[in-house]
Amino acid sequence: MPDRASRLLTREGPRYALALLGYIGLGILTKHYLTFTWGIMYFILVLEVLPRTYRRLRGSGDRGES
Amino acid sequence: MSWAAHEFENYFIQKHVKFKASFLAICLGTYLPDVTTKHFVYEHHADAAHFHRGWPGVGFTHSLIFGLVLAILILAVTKSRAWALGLLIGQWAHVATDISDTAGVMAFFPFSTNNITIGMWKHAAAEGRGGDGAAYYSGLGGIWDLFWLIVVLIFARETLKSDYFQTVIITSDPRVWAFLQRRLWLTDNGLLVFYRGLFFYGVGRMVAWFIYARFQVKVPWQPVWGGPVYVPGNYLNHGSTFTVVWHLVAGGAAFVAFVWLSWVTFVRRLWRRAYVQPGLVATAQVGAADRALDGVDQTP
Repeated sequence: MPDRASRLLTREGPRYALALLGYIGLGILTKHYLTFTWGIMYFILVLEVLPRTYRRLRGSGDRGES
Repeated sequence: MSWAAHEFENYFIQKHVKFKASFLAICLGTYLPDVTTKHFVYEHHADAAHFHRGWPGVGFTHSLIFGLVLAILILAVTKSRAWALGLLIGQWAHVATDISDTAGVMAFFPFSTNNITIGMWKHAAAEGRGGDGAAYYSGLGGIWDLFWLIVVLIFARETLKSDYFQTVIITSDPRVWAFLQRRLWLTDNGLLVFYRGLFFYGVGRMVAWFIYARFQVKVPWQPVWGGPVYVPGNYLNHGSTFTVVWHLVAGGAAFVAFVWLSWVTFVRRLWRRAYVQPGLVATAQVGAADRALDGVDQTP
Protein backbone atom coordinates (compact mmCIF):
# COMPACT_ATOMS: atom_id res chain seq x y z
CA MET A 1 0.00 0.00 0.00
CA PRO A 2 2.72 2.56 0.86
CA ASP A 3 4.42 1.68 -2.45
CA ARG A 4 1.17 2.29 -4.27
CA ALA A 5 0.75 5.63 -2.49
CA SER A 6 4.28 6.75 -3.32
CA ARG A 7 3.82 5.64 -6.94
CA LEU A 8 0.66 7.73 -7.09
CA LEU A 9 2.44 10.72 -5.60
CA THR A 10 5.22 10.60 -8.16
CA ARG A 11 2.61 11.40 -10.82
CA GLU A 12 1.94 15.07 -11.49
CA GLY A 13 -1.88 15.09 -11.49
CA PRO A 14 -2.48 13.56 -8.04
CA ARG A 15 0.30 15.68 -6.51
CA TYR A 16 -1.24 18.92 -7.78
CA ALA A 17 -4.75 17.80 -6.80
CA LEU A 18 -3.60 16.99 -3.25
CA ALA A 19 -1.75 20.30 -2.98
CA LEU A 20 -4.87 22.12 -4.15
CA LEU A 21 -7.06 20.33 -1.60
CA GLY A 22 -4.52 21.19 1.09
CA TYR A 23 -4.56 24.82 0.05
CA ILE A 24 -8.34 25.01 0.18
CA GLY A 25 -8.44 23.17 3.51
CA LEU A 26 -5.74 25.37 5.01
CA GLY A 27 -7.59 28.50 3.89
CA ILE A 28 -10.81 27.32 5.51
CA LEU A 29 -9.20 26.00 8.71
CA THR A 30 -7.14 29.12 9.35
CA LYS A 31 -10.00 31.38 8.15
CA HIS A 32 -7.26 33.34 6.39
CA TYR A 33 -8.03 32.52 2.74
CA LEU A 34 -4.41 32.81 1.75
CA THR A 35 -3.45 35.88 -0.22
CA PHE A 36 -1.57 35.84 -3.52
CA THR A 37 1.99 35.78 -2.13
CA TRP A 38 1.18 33.14 0.50
CA GLY A 39 -0.70 31.11 -2.11
CA ILE A 40 2.25 30.96 -4.52
CA MET A 41 4.67 30.28 -1.65
CA TYR A 42 2.45 27.45 -0.44
CA PHE A 43 2.47 25.72 -3.85
CA ILE A 44 6.24 26.08 -4.20
CA LEU A 45 6.73 24.74 -0.67
CA VAL A 46 4.42 21.75 -1.09
CA LEU A 47 5.22 20.81 -4.68
CA GLU A 48 8.92 21.67 -4.88
CA VAL A 49 10.73 22.37 -1.60
CA LEU A 50 9.27 19.61 0.59
CA PRO A 51 9.57 16.77 -2.00
CA ARG A 52 13.13 17.89 -2.81
CA THR A 53 14.09 17.97 0.88
CA TYR A 54 12.44 14.58 1.42
CA ARG A 55 14.33 13.07 -1.52
CA ARG A 56 17.61 14.54 -0.29
CA LEU A 57 17.10 13.26 3.26
CA ARG A 58 16.06 9.82 2.04
CA GLY A 59 19.03 9.76 -0.32
CA SER A 60 21.49 10.60 2.44
CA GLY A 61 19.79 8.03 4.73
CA ASP A 62 20.20 5.34 2.07
CA ARG A 63 23.86 6.19 1.67
CA GLY A 64 24.29 6.04 5.46
CA GLU A 65 22.73 2.57 5.61
CA SER A 66 24.95 1.21 2.87
CA MET B 1 -13.49 43.36 -9.51
CA SER B 2 -12.84 39.69 -10.10
CA TRP B 3 -11.40 37.36 -7.52
CA ALA B 4 -10.04 34.52 -9.67
CA ALA B 5 -10.92 35.40 -13.28
CA HIS B 6 -7.81 37.63 -13.45
CA GLU B 7 -5.65 34.56 -12.73
CA PHE B 8 -7.35 32.40 -15.39
CA GLU B 9 -7.42 35.13 -18.07
CA ASN B 10 -3.62 35.27 -18.03
CA TYR B 11 -3.32 31.73 -19.42
CA PHE B 12 -5.98 32.28 -22.06
CA ILE B 13 -4.36 35.54 -23.20
CA GLN B 14 -0.92 33.93 -23.21
CA LYS B 15 -2.15 31.16 -25.49
CA HIS B 16 -3.20 33.75 -28.06
CA VAL B 17 -0.22 36.11 -27.89
CA LYS B 18 2.39 33.30 -27.59
CA PHE B 19 5.89 34.79 -28.06
CA LYS B 20 4.71 38.37 -28.53
CA ALA B 21 4.21 39.06 -24.82
CA SER B 22 5.79 38.03 -21.54
CA PHE B 23 3.53 35.92 -19.31
CA LEU B 24 4.91 37.59 -16.18
CA ALA B 25 4.20 41.02 -17.67
CA ILE B 26 0.61 39.98 -18.46
CA CYS B 27 0.22 38.84 -14.83
CA LEU B 28 1.71 42.07 -13.52
CA GLY B 29 -0.65 44.04 -15.77
CA THR B 30 -3.73 42.17 -14.57
CA TYR B 31 -2.80 42.48 -10.86
CA LEU B 32 -1.49 46.04 -10.87
CA PRO B 33 -4.82 47.95 -10.69
CA ASP B 34 -5.92 46.10 -7.53
CA VAL B 35 -2.65 45.21 -5.85
CA THR B 36 -1.77 48.89 -5.52
CA THR B 37 -5.20 49.99 -4.31
CA LYS B 38 -7.24 47.26 -2.58
CA HIS B 39 -5.69 47.73 0.87
CA PHE B 40 -6.67 51.41 0.87
CA VAL B 41 -10.07 50.70 -0.70
CA TYR B 42 -11.08 48.46 2.23
CA GLU B 43 -10.29 51.32 4.62
CA HIS B 44 -12.80 53.57 2.83
CA HIS B 45 -15.99 51.88 4.06
CA ALA B 46 -18.24 54.87 3.40
CA ASP B 47 -17.24 55.51 -0.22
CA ALA B 48 -15.24 52.40 -1.17
CA ALA B 49 -16.73 52.12 -4.67
CA HIS B 50 -16.09 55.79 -5.49
CA PHE B 51 -12.58 55.68 -4.06
CA HIS B 52 -11.76 52.45 -5.94
CA ARG B 53 -13.24 53.33 -9.33
CA GLY B 54 -14.02 57.05 -9.34
CA TRP B 55 -12.32 60.41 -9.41
CA PRO B 56 -11.04 61.84 -7.11
CA GLY B 57 -9.70 58.51 -5.85
CA VAL B 58 -7.64 55.66 -7.27
CA GLY B 59 -10.08 54.90 -10.12
CA PHE B 60 -7.46 56.01 -12.66
CA THR B 61 -5.64 52.70 -12.04
CA HIS B 62 -8.58 51.05 -13.81
CA SER B 63 -8.34 53.26 -16.90
CA LEU B 64 -6.87 52.37 -20.31
CA ILE B 65 -4.45 55.26 -20.16
CA PHE B 66 -2.88 53.93 -16.94
CA GLY B 67 -1.84 50.71 -18.71
CA LEU B 68 -0.70 52.67 -21.76
CA VAL B 69 1.52 55.05 -19.77
CA LEU B 70 3.06 52.16 -17.79
CA ALA B 71 3.67 50.18 -20.98
CA ILE B 72 5.37 53.17 -22.62
CA LEU B 73 7.56 53.63 -19.53
CA ILE B 74 8.47 49.93 -19.57
CA LEU B 75 9.27 50.17 -23.29
CA ALA B 76 11.46 53.24 -22.74
CA VAL B 77 13.34 51.81 -19.74
CA THR B 78 13.69 48.08 -20.52
CA LYS B 79 13.42 48.27 -24.34
CA SER B 80 11.52 45.00 -24.14
CA ARG B 81 8.58 44.70 -26.52
CA ALA B 82 7.35 41.54 -24.77
CA TRP B 83 7.16 43.29 -21.40
CA ALA B 84 5.55 46.47 -22.72
CA LEU B 85 2.96 44.56 -24.72
CA GLY B 86 2.32 42.05 -21.90
CA LEU B 87 1.73 44.75 -19.33
CA LEU B 88 -0.57 46.66 -21.68
CA ILE B 89 -2.64 43.57 -22.56
CA GLY B 90 -2.85 42.45 -18.93
CA GLN B 91 -3.94 45.84 -17.59
CA TRP B 92 -6.48 46.33 -20.39
CA ALA B 93 -7.87 42.84 -19.72
CA HIS B 94 -8.36 43.84 -16.08
CA VAL B 95 -10.18 47.01 -17.16
CA ALA B 96 -12.39 45.00 -19.53
CA THR B 97 -13.30 42.48 -16.82
CA ASP B 98 -14.11 45.12 -14.20
CA ILE B 99 -16.71 46.66 -16.51
CA SER B 100 -18.89 43.79 -15.30
CA ASP B 101 -19.53 45.04 -11.75
CA THR B 102 -21.93 47.79 -10.76
CA ALA B 103 -19.23 50.43 -10.11
CA GLY B 104 -17.61 49.88 -13.52
CA VAL B 105 -14.41 51.59 -14.67
CA MET B 106 -13.41 55.04 -15.93
CA ALA B 107 -11.99 53.47 -19.08
CA PHE B 108 -11.37 56.77 -20.87
CA PHE B 109 -10.02 58.76 -17.93
CA PRO B 110 -8.98 61.66 -17.97
CA PHE B 111 -11.04 62.45 -21.09
CA SER B 112 -14.19 61.19 -19.36
CA THR B 113 -14.78 60.45 -15.67
CA ASN B 114 -17.98 58.53 -16.43
CA ASN B 115 -17.86 54.83 -15.69
CA ILE B 116 -18.60 52.03 -18.14
CA THR B 117 -20.56 49.24 -16.48
CA ILE B 118 -22.86 46.38 -17.40
CA GLY B 119 -23.84 45.86 -13.74
CA MET B 120 -23.53 42.08 -13.79
CA TRP B 121 -22.61 41.79 -10.09
CA LYS B 122 -22.34 44.18 -7.14
CA HIS B 123 -19.16 46.06 -6.30
CA ALA B 124 -19.01 45.21 -2.59
CA ALA B 125 -15.68 46.59 -1.33
CA ALA B 126 -17.62 48.66 1.23
CA GLU B 127 -18.35 45.37 3.04
CA GLY B 128 -14.65 44.87 3.86
CA ARG B 129 -12.46 42.03 2.54
CA GLY B 130 -14.53 39.15 3.94
CA GLY B 131 -17.85 40.72 3.00
CA ASP B 132 -16.52 41.58 -0.46
CA GLY B 133 -15.45 37.98 -1.11
CA ALA B 134 -18.72 36.60 0.25
CA ALA B 135 -20.79 38.99 -1.92
CA TYR B 136 -18.71 38.23 -5.02
CA TYR B 137 -19.25 34.49 -4.62
CA SER B 138 -22.96 35.01 -3.92
CA GLY B 139 -23.70 36.77 -7.21
CA LEU B 140 -22.72 36.20 -10.83
CA GLY B 141 -19.09 37.00 -9.99
CA GLY B 142 -18.50 33.43 -8.88
CA ILE B 143 -20.12 32.15 -12.08
CA TRP B 144 -17.83 34.47 -14.07
CA ASP B 145 -14.77 32.90 -12.38
CA LEU B 146 -16.13 29.43 -13.12
CA PHE B 147 -16.68 30.44 -16.76
CA TRP B 148 -13.04 31.50 -17.10
CA LEU B 149 -11.83 28.33 -15.40
CA ILE B 150 -13.78 26.26 -17.95
CA VAL B 151 -12.53 28.43 -20.83
CA VAL B 152 -8.91 27.82 -19.79
CA LEU B 153 -9.47 24.09 -19.26
CA ILE B 154 -11.15 23.68 -22.66
CA PHE B 155 -9.36 26.18 -24.90
CA ALA B 156 -6.01 26.85 -23.22
CA ARG B 157 -5.24 23.60 -21.41
CA GLU B 158 -1.91 23.20 -23.23
CA THR B 159 -0.59 26.39 -21.60
CA LEU B 160 -0.36 24.43 -18.33
CA LYS B 161 1.82 21.72 -19.81
CA SER B 162 5.52 21.47 -19.09
CA ASP B 163 6.43 21.53 -22.81
CA TYR B 164 4.52 24.75 -23.37
CA PHE B 165 6.22 26.35 -20.39
CA GLN B 166 9.67 25.42 -21.69
CA THR B 167 9.13 26.25 -25.35
CA VAL B 168 6.90 29.32 -25.20
CA ILE B 169 6.76 30.91 -21.75
CA ILE B 170 10.48 30.80 -20.93
CA THR B 171 11.57 31.41 -24.51
CA SER B 172 9.54 34.60 -24.74
CA ASP B 173 11.05 36.00 -21.53
CA PRO B 174 14.28 34.13 -20.72
CA ARG B 175 16.04 36.87 -18.74
CA VAL B 176 13.35 37.38 -16.12
CA TRP B 177 12.67 33.66 -15.64
CA ALA B 178 16.42 33.08 -15.18
CA PHE B 179 16.51 35.94 -12.66
CA LEU B 180 13.55 34.42 -10.75
CA GLN B 181 15.19 31.01 -10.75
CA ARG B 182 18.39 32.43 -9.28
CA ARG B 183 16.71 34.64 -6.70
CA LEU B 184 14.22 32.05 -5.47
CA TRP B 185 16.72 29.14 -5.64
CA LEU B 186 14.31 27.11 -7.74
CA THR B 187 14.99 24.08 -9.89
CA ASP B 188 13.41 23.81 -13.36
CA ASN B 189 10.50 21.97 -11.77
CA GLY B 190 10.20 24.70 -9.12
CA LEU B 191 9.92 27.30 -11.85
CA LEU B 192 7.16 25.26 -13.48
CA VAL B 193 5.35 25.07 -10.12
CA PHE B 194 5.66 28.85 -9.81
CA TYR B 195 4.10 29.26 -13.27
CA ARG B 196 1.29 26.78 -12.64
CA GLY B 197 0.85 28.08 -9.08
CA LEU B 198 -0.97 31.16 -10.37
CA PHE B 199 -3.63 28.92 -11.91
CA PHE B 200 -3.97 26.65 -8.88
CA TYR B 201 -4.02 29.67 -6.59
CA GLY B 202 -7.00 30.95 -8.62
CA VAL B 203 -8.84 27.61 -8.36
CA GLY B 204 -8.13 27.33 -4.63
CA ARG B 205 -9.21 30.89 -4.02
CA MET B 206 -12.46 30.39 -5.92
CA VAL B 207 -13.44 27.22 -4.04
CA ALA B 208 -12.34 28.46 -0.58
CA TRP B 209 -14.21 31.78 -0.84
CA PHE B 210 -17.32 30.05 -2.17
CA ILE B 211 -17.27 27.70 0.84
CA TYR B 212 -16.68 30.69 3.14
CA ALA B 213 -19.73 32.48 1.70
CA ARG B 214 -22.00 29.42 1.91
CA PHE B 215 -20.97 27.75 5.17
CA GLN B 216 -19.20 30.32 7.32
CA VAL B 217 -20.92 33.68 6.92
CA LYS B 218 -23.95 31.96 5.31
CA VAL B 219 -25.01 34.82 3.04
CA PRO B 220 -27.75 34.02 0.50
CA TRP B 221 -26.66 32.77 -2.93
CA GLN B 222 -28.30 35.09 -5.48
CA PRO B 223 -26.72 34.48 -8.90
CA VAL B 224 -28.98 36.95 -10.72
CA TRP B 225 -28.03 39.94 -12.87
CA GLY B 226 -26.93 42.76 -10.52
CA GLY B 227 -26.89 40.44 -7.50
CA PRO B 228 -26.48 39.75 -4.71
CA VAL B 229 -29.46 41.91 -3.77
CA TYR B 230 -28.51 42.19 -0.08
CA VAL B 231 -25.58 44.50 -1.05
CA PRO B 232 -26.26 48.19 -2.00
CA GLY B 233 -25.89 49.08 -5.69
CA ASN B 234 -22.78 51.29 -5.66
CA TYR B 235 -23.51 52.82 -9.06
CA LEU B 236 -21.20 55.76 -9.73
CA ASN B 237 -22.62 57.50 -12.82
CA HIS B 238 -24.86 60.50 -12.37
CA GLY B 239 -27.04 62.29 -14.92
CA SER B 240 -29.23 60.94 -17.71
CA THR B 241 -28.25 57.90 -19.77
CA PHE B 242 -27.85 60.13 -22.85
CA THR B 243 -25.39 62.44 -21.04
CA VAL B 244 -23.35 59.48 -19.74
CA VAL B 245 -23.24 57.82 -23.19
CA TRP B 246 -22.34 61.11 -24.89
CA HIS B 247 -19.49 61.78 -22.42
CA LEU B 248 -18.21 58.22 -22.90
CA VAL B 249 -18.29 58.47 -26.71
CA ALA B 250 -16.48 61.83 -26.62
CA GLY B 251 -13.97 60.44 -24.06
CA GLY B 252 -13.40 57.33 -26.20
CA ALA B 253 -12.75 59.43 -29.31
CA ALA B 254 -10.32 61.67 -27.40
CA PHE B 255 -8.52 58.58 -26.05
CA VAL B 256 -8.15 57.07 -29.53
CA ALA B 257 -6.78 60.41 -30.79
CA PHE B 258 -4.34 60.48 -27.86
CA VAL B 259 -3.10 56.95 -28.62
CA TRP B 260 -2.60 57.80 -32.31
CA LEU B 261 -0.79 61.05 -31.48
CA SER B 262 1.46 59.28 -28.96
CA TRP B 263 2.28 56.57 -31.52
CA VAL B 264 3.13 59.04 -34.25
CA THR B 265 5.18 61.41 -32.10
CA PHE B 266 7.35 59.12 -29.94
CA VAL B 267 5.99 55.61 -29.18
CA ARG B 268 6.76 54.32 -32.69
CA ARG B 269 10.39 55.36 -32.24
CA LEU B 270 10.57 53.62 -28.86
CA TRP B 271 8.98 50.50 -30.37
CA ARG B 272 11.49 50.38 -33.26
CA ARG B 273 14.55 50.70 -31.02
CA ALA B 274 13.20 48.05 -28.61
CA TYR B 275 14.48 44.49 -28.94
CA VAL B 276 12.55 41.37 -29.85
CA GLN B 277 12.89 38.42 -27.46
CA PRO B 278 15.47 35.82 -28.54
CA GLY B 279 12.73 33.20 -28.67
CA LEU B 280 10.78 35.21 -31.19
CA VAL B 281 13.88 35.70 -33.34
CA ALA B 282 14.60 31.96 -33.15
CA THR B 283 11.05 31.14 -34.16
CA ALA B 284 11.17 33.60 -37.03
CA GLN B 285 14.44 32.03 -38.21
CA VAL B 286 13.02 28.52 -37.95
CA GLY B 287 9.96 29.72 -39.84
CA ALA B 288 12.17 31.25 -42.53
CA ALA B 289 14.21 28.05 -42.72
CA ASP B 290 11.06 25.98 -43.01
CA ARG B 291 9.74 28.24 -45.74
CA ALA B 292 13.06 28.03 -47.56
CA LEU B 293 13.00 24.24 -47.32
CA ASP B 294 9.41 24.19 -48.54
CA GLY B 295 10.51 26.28 -51.51
CA VAL B 296 13.28 23.82 -52.32
CA ASP B 297 10.92 20.86 -52.04
CA GLN B 298 8.43 22.44 -54.39
CA THR B 299 11.06 23.11 -57.06
CA PRO B 300 10.70 20.47 -59.79
